[in-house]
Amino acid sequence: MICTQPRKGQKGQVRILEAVIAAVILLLTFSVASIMVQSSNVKVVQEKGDLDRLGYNVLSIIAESGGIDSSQTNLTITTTLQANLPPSIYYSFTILNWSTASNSLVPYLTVSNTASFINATEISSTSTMYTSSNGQIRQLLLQLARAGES
Amino acid sequence: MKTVARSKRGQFVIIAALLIAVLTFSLVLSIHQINLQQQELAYNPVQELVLGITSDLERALNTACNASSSTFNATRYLMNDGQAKNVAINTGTGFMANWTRSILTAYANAGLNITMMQNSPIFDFKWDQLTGTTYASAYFSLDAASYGFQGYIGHSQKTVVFSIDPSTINNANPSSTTLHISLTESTGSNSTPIPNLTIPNINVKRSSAPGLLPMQWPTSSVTQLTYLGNGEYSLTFTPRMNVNTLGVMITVTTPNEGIMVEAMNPNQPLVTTTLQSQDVNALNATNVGTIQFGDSNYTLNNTVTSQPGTYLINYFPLNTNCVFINWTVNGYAIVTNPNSILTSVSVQGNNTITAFYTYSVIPQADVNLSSRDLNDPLLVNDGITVFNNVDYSLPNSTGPLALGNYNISYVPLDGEYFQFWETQGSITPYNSSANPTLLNVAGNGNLTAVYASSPPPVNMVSVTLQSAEATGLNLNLGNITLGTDTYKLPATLTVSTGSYLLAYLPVNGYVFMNWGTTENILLVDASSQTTQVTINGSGSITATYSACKVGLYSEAWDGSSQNLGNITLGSNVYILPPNGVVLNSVLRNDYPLAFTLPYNSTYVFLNWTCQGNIIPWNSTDITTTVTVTGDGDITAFYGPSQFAGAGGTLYVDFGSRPNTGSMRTANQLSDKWLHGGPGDKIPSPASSPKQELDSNSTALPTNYVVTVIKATAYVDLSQGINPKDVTLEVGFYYGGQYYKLGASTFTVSNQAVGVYVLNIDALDSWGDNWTQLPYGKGVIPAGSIFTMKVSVTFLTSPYGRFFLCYGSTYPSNISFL
Repeated sequence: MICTQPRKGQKGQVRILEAVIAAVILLLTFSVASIMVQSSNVKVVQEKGDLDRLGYNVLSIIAESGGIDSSQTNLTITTTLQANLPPSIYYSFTILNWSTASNSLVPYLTVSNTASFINATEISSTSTMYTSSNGQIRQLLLQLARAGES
Repeated sequence: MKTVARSKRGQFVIIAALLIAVLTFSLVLSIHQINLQQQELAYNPVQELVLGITSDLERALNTACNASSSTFNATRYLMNDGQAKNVAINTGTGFMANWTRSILTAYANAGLNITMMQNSPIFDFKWDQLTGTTYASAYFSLDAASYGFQGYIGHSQKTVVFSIDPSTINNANPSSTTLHISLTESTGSNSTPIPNLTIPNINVKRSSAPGLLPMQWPTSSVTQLTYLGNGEYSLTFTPRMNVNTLGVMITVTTPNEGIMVEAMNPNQPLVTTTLQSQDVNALNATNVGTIQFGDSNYTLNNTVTSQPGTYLINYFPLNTNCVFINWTVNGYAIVTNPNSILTSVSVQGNNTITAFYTYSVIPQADVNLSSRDLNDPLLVNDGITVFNNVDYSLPNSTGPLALGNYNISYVPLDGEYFQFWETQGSITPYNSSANPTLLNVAGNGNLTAVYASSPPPVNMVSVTLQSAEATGLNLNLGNITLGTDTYKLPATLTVSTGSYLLAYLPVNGYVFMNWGTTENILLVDASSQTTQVTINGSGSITATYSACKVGLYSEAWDGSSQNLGNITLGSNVYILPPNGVVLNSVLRNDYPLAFTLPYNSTYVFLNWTCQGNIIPWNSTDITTTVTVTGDGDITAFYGPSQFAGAGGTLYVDFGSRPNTGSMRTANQLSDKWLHGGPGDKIPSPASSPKQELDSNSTALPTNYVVTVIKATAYVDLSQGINPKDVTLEVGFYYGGQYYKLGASTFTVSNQAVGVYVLNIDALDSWGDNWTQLPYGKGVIPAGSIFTMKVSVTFLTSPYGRFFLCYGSTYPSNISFL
């Protein structure tokens, strides 16, 4: 194979091109790394943890208050949720009843102050079990998200 | 080669840039991952998960305990205790298994594994005692694989304790009973009082008569509930419990969790009574004399075993020197009148009855003797008084005398004449104008002989003595003593004016009530059977006497009916009208007493209750004796007979055939088939798509406990056209209502004789109206009529008919197992 030698003027142009490519690579690398480091901050994870804790607290309050057994369950739960959640929090509370016949949990009641959580960056989902005095076994499911993110 | 190397220098720069880029990315990714892992570990919700499940375990266990105790309460008298506990435990265990499945389903995405540990959960009921408990406990193991959490052991426990304090039972009110109860709960070692019990949470059943099973005890209403603190309450219910048996069964439901628990004070068994007597001055029993208890006389000391009830007691002192003082009791007995030698005692538990006595000191009295002139108060103590044949110069004193009657006379001085006797204190001359006469000495007194210088004027008057019964039914029974003479009545006498001793002697069985006189005749004490009368002129003296007013009644144990049957008192039989019988002239005496219920009654005698001055010798014996000492009522209580035990078979029977081959009575259920040959059978009506044959029993003579019922029908379909199915139904009629125990439809087994068997659990079915039955499920009340209905559906017309077999070859029947 015969190698054709570039001319001197052409050599310089190639060097400049190589340097430019290397610079671009390095620039891109640092830019992406910077973005990644930025996105790996704990803000989002921390926020979910806070919502989880809040959710468990509210579930505990609802269970211990016995409001689930109230004849006005819907109203009682709405009142409890509004009293214990900041106004900036969107919630969706669902009661699932245990069905012995189907061995599954069947949705029974949902109380919510938002249409959907589609736009939320982070949704907290917490649950607990509640056996009522009349023998009904229930799962209480609470989803929380910060207002402005939904 | 040099040229090639030179031409590639720029490429090394790019490669170096790429390497730097890769290293940078790796470093950034590592930092990113580390941050994520740290945060994820911090937010693992395993603690909340376990706490949530443990917390709900407590709620689930409470609910399981609620369901289990309710089941036990509903079944405990319908089967034996072990079976009822098993049913209740299965209810609780089933709920906990359900709960476990729900947890596994709810947390499936967390890799959760929850398992009830061996011998868990535990449910236990100890109810038939003074302190009843309901207990539940559960252990589970929990793993949450997704969170790397394993080996957690959770435990929950619930104990509800309910007590009756029998020492607080108070039956003083004839219509209610008050006692103390206490209710506590615990989830571990420390118990907590339950302070918010309310009347609707309490159900009281009381023993109304000896011999009744607890399941027969009727319900009482709680009228008052007062919280005393520390879980203790004062409870009042009406009607009151049987005061002899003291049986009571109280079921409470905890207000928060609805857990049931029961405590019971059982009927008292036979009780032992120790009889003894004691000198009031002795430290221990001296056991002198005998005591009659009921209808037997016992030397002392002695023990008697009897049913709780009311019995006559009578103390017979050793001799006349022994004087009865009173009765005292230790233990569970109450003497009606402790100061009366003849009275009754209600024995409720073991007890000791002591008759206290003392040796009598003969009472003595002094009589002061004197005399005075009738007209001159300065002339006194002339003459001599002869007292009990001893001459006494005056003034004088007899010295201590035994109480009784003494001869007295006055010997005046010459020229003086005896006029009459004057008395003060507890002495009475039989005839104050007579000399000599008798003096009744009942205590200390002053006796003065009055004299004058001339003989006393003689003033004779006419006095009529008579008597009358207070009701006016009888006249002039008994005798009257006036002065020293006793007269049959009526009597008209001519006597001198003056003071006389007056006494009425009634006929046996009657008692003196009072005296009545006309205006010239004065009495010291008109209500005293022996008194002094002063006759100032003609008139009459009337003694009033009376017999006893005795009411005869009967009443059902629960007050649901009154005055059934008849009562025999003495030799007379009294058929009780709706309001009972009142006898106005019953003499004081001992009478045989008996009670007879109507011949077709399902009731039995329970006990006698006497009020007023009537003493039953043995209140638990249908044939006994009563002592009538005054007015009073006698009531015979009756109640349902003992429940029949389970077992037995009722066979279908076609009934009698008065004229063979012609008329037959309706088919029936009887103890055993009595009629027909081995293969006999009853035809159904023909030509209808559904044909039915009903077989009824006669009314049950007694209550019937059933646990399992097995009905067997032998049905011959050989003459049916295309039969489709056979339906067998068992039930009973009570109080005009039908109670369906069970039914089943069978496909036809063959065209000839097929056997169709229906097994019924006595806890199921009973129709929708079973709560109207007096004993709930499991007890078929006396008077019910069993029925077995067999029906066959045919598909094609003409339908033909079917036959229900009843002979010995195919004995259609209902068995009670």
